[in-house]
Amino acid sequence: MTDVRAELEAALGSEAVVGTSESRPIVAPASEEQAVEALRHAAGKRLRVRLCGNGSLLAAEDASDFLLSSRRLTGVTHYEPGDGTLTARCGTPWRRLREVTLAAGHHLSPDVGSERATLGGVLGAARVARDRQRYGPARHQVLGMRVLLADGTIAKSGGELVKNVTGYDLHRLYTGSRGSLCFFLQASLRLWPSPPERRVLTRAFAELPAALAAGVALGRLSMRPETLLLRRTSSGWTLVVGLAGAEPVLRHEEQLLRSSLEGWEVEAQVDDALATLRADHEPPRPHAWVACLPSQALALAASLEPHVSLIHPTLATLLVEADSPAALRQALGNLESAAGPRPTVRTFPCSAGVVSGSAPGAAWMERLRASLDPDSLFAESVS
Amino acid sequence: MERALVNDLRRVVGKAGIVEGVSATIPYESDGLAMIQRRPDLVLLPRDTAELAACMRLLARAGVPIVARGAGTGLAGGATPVEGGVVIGTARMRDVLEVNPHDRYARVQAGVVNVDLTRACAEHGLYYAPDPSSQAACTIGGNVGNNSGGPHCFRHGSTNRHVLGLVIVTADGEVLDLSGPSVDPDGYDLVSLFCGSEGTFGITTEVTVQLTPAPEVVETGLALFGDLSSACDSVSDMIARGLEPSAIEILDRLTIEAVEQSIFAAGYPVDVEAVLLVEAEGNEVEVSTTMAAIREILEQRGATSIRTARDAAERRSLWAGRKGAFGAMGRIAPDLYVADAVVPRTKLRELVEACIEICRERDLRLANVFHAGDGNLHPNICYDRRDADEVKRVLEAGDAILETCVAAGGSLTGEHGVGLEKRDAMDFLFSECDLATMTRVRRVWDPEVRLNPGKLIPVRACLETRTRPLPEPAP
Repeated sequence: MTDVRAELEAALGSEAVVGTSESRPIVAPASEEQAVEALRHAAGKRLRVRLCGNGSLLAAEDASDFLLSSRRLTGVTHYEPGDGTLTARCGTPWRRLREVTLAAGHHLSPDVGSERATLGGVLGAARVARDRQRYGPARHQVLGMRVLLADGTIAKSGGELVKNVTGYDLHRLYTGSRGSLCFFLQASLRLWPSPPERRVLTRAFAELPAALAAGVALGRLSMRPETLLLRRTSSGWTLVVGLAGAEPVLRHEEQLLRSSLEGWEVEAQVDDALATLRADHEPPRPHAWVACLPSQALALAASLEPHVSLIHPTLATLLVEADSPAALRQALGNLESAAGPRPTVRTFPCSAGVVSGSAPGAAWMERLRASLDPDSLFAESVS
Repeated sequence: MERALVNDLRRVVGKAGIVEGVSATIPYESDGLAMIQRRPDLVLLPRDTAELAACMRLLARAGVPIVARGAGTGLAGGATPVEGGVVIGTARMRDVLEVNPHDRYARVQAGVVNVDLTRACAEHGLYYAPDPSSQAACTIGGNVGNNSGGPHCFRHGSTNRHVLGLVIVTADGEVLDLSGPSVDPDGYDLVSLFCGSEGTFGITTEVTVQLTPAPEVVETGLALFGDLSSACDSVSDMIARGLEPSAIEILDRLTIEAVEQSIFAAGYPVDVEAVLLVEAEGNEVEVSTTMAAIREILEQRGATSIRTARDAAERRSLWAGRKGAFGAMGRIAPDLYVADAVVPRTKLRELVEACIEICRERDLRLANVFHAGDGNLHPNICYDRRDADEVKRVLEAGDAILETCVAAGGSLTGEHGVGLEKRDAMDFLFSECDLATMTRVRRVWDPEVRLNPGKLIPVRACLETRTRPLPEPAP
C-alpha cells in the first residue's frame, strides 16, 4: 500500500491523496485534468481503481488498489431556477444541493438525508428515498452527465433540459452503475417545485397484511403523496403518509385519508418526521432494496421475515436489513424460490458487482461494461 | 436481394408477412419526413417475436441492413429505408397480451397503436399516459424507439418513465427478455438505455408499460392572446411559480387558421395571435387551486379571454384541434417541415421570436404549435417540395433554428428523435468524444452497424476518437 500511495503522491501531488480507507489510498482530484492523470497512472501501473463519492456506501471487501473520490470536485456550475434544472460537479454534497435549491423554491429528489452523500454517490448508487412515491426513482431525475471513462475520454450525454431525446440516454445507464462504468464528473438534475406545506400522518397496525392492504388502497385515492410507506415498529407496522402541497390541498387530502381509514395521528414536528423518514432509508447495517410487483409484496415480505424494515406498498419495494453481509445474503436467498416475475435486488454497501445472480441481460451488461472499461480498471465484471 | 434469402424469409413470415416489388413497397419509402425517400429491397411484417428473431438471424447471416418501422409516423427519418436494406415492420404485431389492473401494468406487442392501449385498459379506470399527437396511429414500439412525448408529458414524463420492461431482438437474432415488470432494474438499466435508441440497438417486439389511474377531475382552459410573446411569457411565469398542470400548449395564428378550416376545427377564435391550452388534473381541490393560480398569471400577462371547457366533449374537441394541428397544415401548403427543438423554459419568448425571424428572412411560412410547458418548440415550416429553391430555404431555416436553440442552451430534439434529419446537427451539441462514446455503446449491440445504419450518429464519428490516449500498460 505504501508503494501505491507514494507513487500516487509522486504522480499527482501529495494534496491529491487525501487519506486511506480500509488501507487503500483515497485519491481526490481537484480538477478533471487531475482525475484523468489518476486514471493514466492506474492504467500504466495496472492498478485497480474503485470509484466513489465520499465512500459512505462502499463495501469493505474490495480488490482495488486505490479509491478515486469526487469529493473535491464540488460546486454548482449552473442553476436556472426559472427552468427548474441544476448542474453541479459530482462531489458536491447532496445536503448543499438541497440547501441551494430549497432557497430558490425547489425540491431536490431523491430526498437523501446523509450528511456525507454526494451528487455522484447518490446517482451511482441510485439511492431510494422517502419521496419516491411522487417524484420517481433517481434515474428519472437525471437529465445529463459528464463522465470520465477508463481510457481518459471525457464524454457527456443528455443536457440540462427537462425534455430531450438527443442521442443515447447514457446517463440513465450510468445511474445505478455503482462506479463500474465511469467516473462521474458533473450531472444535471430536474428539480421540482417545493411544496408550500407538508404534513405527515401515521396509522398503526398490528399485522403486516392489514397494513399492506391499507397502503395499497390509499395508493388508489386521488392524491399525490410524497411518501406512502410502511415502517416496522416494535409493536407491528406503521403506515406513514407524507402530504405535500398548498394548504387547501393538504386539508382535502387529509380528509380523504380519514374518510378511508380511521385512527390517523398527525406528526407534530414535520421536520423531525421527515428526518426520521430519511434516516429510515439509509440504515447503517447491510441492507438491500427488493423490488417486485405489488401483488407479490406480501408473500415476499413473509419470506424475508424478520429482515424487512420498510415497504413502499404501491411501488412494491422492500428494504431488507441484516447484521452482516452474510446474514443479508442468507435472507435474500429465499427470493430464489419466489413465485411470479423475478424480484430485483440491490444490496448495500456497494461491492464492485452490479448484478445480483443471473439477471436477464447480464451478458449484455458485461459487454457494455467491457466496452467502456476494456482493461477492467474499475471492476472485473458486472456480477 | 438473393432469391434464396427471400424464399427463406417467406417461409418464416408467410405470404402475408412479406412485401416486395416496386409498387407494393412505395408506402415504405419514407416515414413522416417525406422529404427523403428510398425504396427498400423488401419489407417484412412478422407476426411475433419468434418470427422476427428468425428473420433477424437470416438477415444477419446475409449481412443485410435492417430498418425497424412502427406506423411510419416518425418525423425525423428514423424509419427511412437504407440502401440495399430490409424494412421490418411491426404492423402485424398488434396484440394486447396482458392488462393487469391490480399491479397496474400492461404487456403489449410492439405494433399496438398507442390509443388502442388506452382503450384496452379504460374499463379498469387506467390509461397509458404518453400521448403523442399521432397517438391514433403511432405504435408503442415506435414510441419506445423514439422515447416519444406528447402534450401530457409535461406532468407524466416521456415514454421511458412508463416502460417497465421490453422484449428485444438483437442484431444477430437473439431474443433478450427484459419484460420485468419492475420499478427497478436488475443491474444496469438496459430498458432505459433502449428507450430512444431509434432502432440502432435492436428491435423491440414486446413492451411492458406502467398504467396510470384516470384522474378524478380534469379541467381544460383556453386562453386567448393578442400576441404570441405574451402567451410564451405566461408559460415561463407558470414554470417559475412552480405550478404543475398536466399540459401547457400554444398554437399561433397560422396554426389556428389551419385547424379551424380543417376537420379538426375546435372552435378556436381565428382573430387572435395565439391560444394557450392548459389542463390540470387530480382531485378537485388540487385542480381548482392550480387553475386559480394559472388564471391569475394569464390575466397578468394580458390574456384577452380565459374560458374552461364545459364538459368532456368540449375538452375532447379542444384537444382534437391541438393534436390534429400537424395534419391541418395541409391546408396551408402541400408539405410540412416539423422542427422539434427544446429550449430552456425561461427563454421561450426570445427563441420563438428568433424562429419567426429566421423564417421571415427566408420568406417561409411558419406555423407554431408547441409543448410550451416542456420548452419543446415545433416551428412548422409550410412548403412545397416541388419548389427546389423553397426546399433549400426550408433546410437552411431548419439548421438555423437548431443552431439558435442550441446556442441558447437548448437541444436538437425533444420527442421526434434524431434519425436522418438531425444526424449531422449532432455536432452542434456533442463533441467527437461524446459521439465516439455513443458509437461504442451502439457497437456493443450491433458491431456491424447493420441496424438503422447512417442514422442518429454522424458517420465519421465511428472513428472512436479519444481525447488523450492513455499510455501502454507497463510490462
